Formats: sequence, C-alpha cells, structure tokens
Amino acid sequence: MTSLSNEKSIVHSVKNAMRILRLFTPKQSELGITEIAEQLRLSKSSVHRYVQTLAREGFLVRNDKTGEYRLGLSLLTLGGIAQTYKEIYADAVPYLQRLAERFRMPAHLCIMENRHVFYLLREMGGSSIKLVTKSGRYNDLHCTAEGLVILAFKSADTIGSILNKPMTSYTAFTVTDPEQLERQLSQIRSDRYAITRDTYAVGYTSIAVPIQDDRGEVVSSLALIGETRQVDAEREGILLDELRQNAKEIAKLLGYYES
Amino acid sequence: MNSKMTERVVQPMTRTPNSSLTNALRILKSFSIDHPEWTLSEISEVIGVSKSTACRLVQTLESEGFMFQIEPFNTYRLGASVLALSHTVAGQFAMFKDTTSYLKQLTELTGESSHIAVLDQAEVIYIQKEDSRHRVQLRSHIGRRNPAHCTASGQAILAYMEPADIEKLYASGLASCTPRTIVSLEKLQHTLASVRQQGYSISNGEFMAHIVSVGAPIFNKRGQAFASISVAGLNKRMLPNLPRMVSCVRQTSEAITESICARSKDVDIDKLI
Repeated sequence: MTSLSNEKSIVHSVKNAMRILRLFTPKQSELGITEIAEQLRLSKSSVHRYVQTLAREGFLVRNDKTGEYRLGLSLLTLGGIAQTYKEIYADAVPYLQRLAERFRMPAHLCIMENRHVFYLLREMGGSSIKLVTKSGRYNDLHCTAEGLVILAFKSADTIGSILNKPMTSYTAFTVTDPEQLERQLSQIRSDRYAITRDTYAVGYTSIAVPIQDDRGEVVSSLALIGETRQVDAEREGILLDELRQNAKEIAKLLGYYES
Repeated sequence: MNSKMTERVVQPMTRTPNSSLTNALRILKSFSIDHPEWTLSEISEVIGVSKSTACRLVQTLESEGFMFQIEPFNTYRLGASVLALSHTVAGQFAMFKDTTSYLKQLTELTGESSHIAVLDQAEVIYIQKEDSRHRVQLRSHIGRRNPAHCTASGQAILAYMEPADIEKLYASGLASCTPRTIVSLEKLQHTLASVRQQGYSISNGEFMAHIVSVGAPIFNKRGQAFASISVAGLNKRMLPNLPRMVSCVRQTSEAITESICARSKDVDIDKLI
C-alpha cells in the first residue's frame, strides 16, 4: 500500500486497527489478541481495545469457542459495494463502441456525482479529437449536455443547490444565470434530450439523452461529443434517434423496461 | 449487526479515546451501492466531525488502502483492501464453496439472477450471487442486506423459525418497502406457515415494485433452515413462468441441501454469522 509522506496526518488508532484487519487472510482467518499483538508489535491492551471497537461495528466477530476473532460481515458488504460499482455498466461498452464508430464522435456514459458529471465510460470510435472527457474525469453540470440531461430529472432541491452556487463561465456561450438554466432544464425534461453548443469549449458540441434504471429513475446519460460543425440540424435528428435507441438498450441492461 | 444496536452504542462513544476509530469505521460504513463515492465535506457532515478531522481519518484509511481518492475533487471510493478482505470473509462460508455451479445452472435455466442468502436478525445477507443478463437486481450484490420479511430469500428461512421467535424478532414492527409489503405480524405468520407447508416462498413486489422473487430453504444435517436460494427478476418475465421458476428453485435447493449434508462436518447455525 502507498504510505503517506505526511506522518502528522495519520491517526494512529485508525492506522493500527486497519493493520489488524489486514492481518486476516484466507490462510489466517482466525486470530487471537496475543497473536495480533505479536505480529504487529503492539501491546495486548491496545489490541484488545481496537478489537472491541472493530467487533462492535461488525468488522470482526468473536468465536466464542476459541476466543479468537475472524472478519465480520461489514467487510463483505463493503466489498460488494466496491466491486459492483465497476461492473454495473460494463455491458454498455459495445453500444458505445458502435455509436462512436458510426458517427466518428466519441461516445460517453456519464453519471452525476458530487455535484459534477462523471465520465464513467468513453469510446473514441477511431476519432482523434481532443476532449477533457477521459473516463474517470469530472466536469461541470451547467455547461454540458451530458450533465444537464441528468440534472434535469433530479429533485427541485438538488437542482436548486447546484444552480444557487456560483458557476464558471467557460466561453461567451456558457449560461450561468440560474433562471435561464431552470428554463433550459424544464425544456430538457419535456424534450428528453439536451444539446450544448460551444458552452464548455468553443467549437465543441455535446448531445445527450437520459438513461433510466430498473426503478425508472434517470441515473446516467449517453452522450456524443464532437466538433460543432459535425452537428447541423439534420444530423442532430439522426444522432438523437440513435442515442435514444441505444439508451433504451442500455436501460434494459439495467433492468428498465418501458411499460 | 443490528443497526439500531450500533446506533445506540456508537453515539455515546464519540468522546471515548477510541472515537477516532469509531468515526473511521462509520466513514467506511457510510458507503452504499447508491452512494459509492463521498467528498470530504460530505463525510464531515455525515459523521459529524470537522473537515480537518475527516481529512485526517480519510488519509489514514487511504494509507492502508481502504479508500482511494479520485483527483481532483477530494472524492473518495472504497479501496483495494476492502475488496481483499471481503474475499476472505466470503471464504469463511466454506459450506458454500461448491454451490457456485448450482447458482450458475439455476440462472441458466431461469434466465434470472440467483442468490444464496443467510439470515442475520431480521435481515438477509447475500453470500453468493449469479447475475443474469438482465441485471435487474442492480442493487443486489454480495454482502447486501435486505429486510427478510419482504424478500423470498428471507421468508424461506423465517418460515422454519418458531412463531414465538418471529414475534420477538418483529416486536418493534415490520418496515414497509412497497404498498405490497406485509406489515402485520399476523399476516406474516400466516404467510410463513404456508411457505413452510409448500416448501417455497414468493415475493411479488413486496420489496421492490415490479420485482418478483422465488425462494426455497437450504437445510443442514439437523434439519435447520440456515440459508436459502432464490431467483429474482422483473414481474413481466417471472409471473408467466412462475410454476417453472418454483420447480427450478426447489430442485436446486434440494440438490444443495443434499450436497451440504453429505459432508462430514455439519453447518453450525449459531456460528454462521
């Protein structure tokens, strides 16, 4: 594991407790206080204290017969969370590839998190265009179709909390006025798609549609981003049809069926 | 662990010397499938500590690989240590070591996701899962806890408990998840009695609207229902095929019971959780 250079920022009780947890392996699945103390060169009394807290929170379980401890179910739960996150959208990759190749525009699968739009997947489809939308990157919501199209379907509270904070003006076309953005969002809700031209970088256009999950909630967006001159009115219609078709297929992967 | 219990214990502990550790563990436990990422400010709000304290706790967890930061927004996810340790926990359920093939087969036969679950208090925990191509159960994952009384996997185990124990377990009432959830103890007892009689359980939208699950118990040598197997999917697909779903689930549960009982060492129900 990477060790932090700044020793002052380390909380020793937490560090030691995490080291205790990491002693447990499939080969060494039960450990007593004494063994733990020896392996980590800690006093038995402090190990005892850490272990009690870990047990109270479900990270360790005591085997009453032997008095030894094993890992608790809290860790199984957290492991499932850490894993599933990456797997959820894995099946969507081929759809993105086809879209990107057909239109020579990078296709993106985005989610909204931490008040930003997050690029979960990106397929370039052979395009060599330079974009900041690398998978794993964040971007602002107010200036991107891929962000606005998710935000539009969030609660009024969430929308308010985004629009009431200062927003960056990236180009002369960036809309930062809350009222104007509210009107845009309401339009997006009725059109069920968003398009932003030159609002983040001049010369670039993004067109995006929402993706619903098994509860029918908009959880992500599917977006094609390219040069503004690639997206005239006629082409906008074609892109939109294809995006909608593919979003429907991806929603099915997530368990959403239109009733 | 009963969440009510931890809450009661955790609150007064915040001023004891171990409060940093308690807070760090609460940070880890704040992650969920619906909230797999947290920013520092969110963490400090949820845990109720200052941002600088949250920062030190998070950096310590990060130093041991329990969390990692996504640049550049002070946003964190669960790290590789969590994954490694969860594999160790999964390995503790040795009795389910050979059941993966049964789950695969069940999913292949039914086309739906299948799960093995055990009971902890009034919740089921999924120990194994086989995804269907539909991925309907987006929020079901290994280690996920769901209320037992509204899922087929939970009802299949509860059905073999003494009615008096059920009464104790639900002394504080039954939580409602959908309009179809059983919320009266009397009705639950009645449902569990018929589950016991027929040997399988069905939840039709009782936990999530549109989702139907079918479950059956897994027994140890002493005849205790210590786990269950279930399939879950969209009602549109499940309901027209219900008789076939039921028979597939029952056959699989019998096969797993047989293979577990064929082993020399019995499953000790009290040592499971």
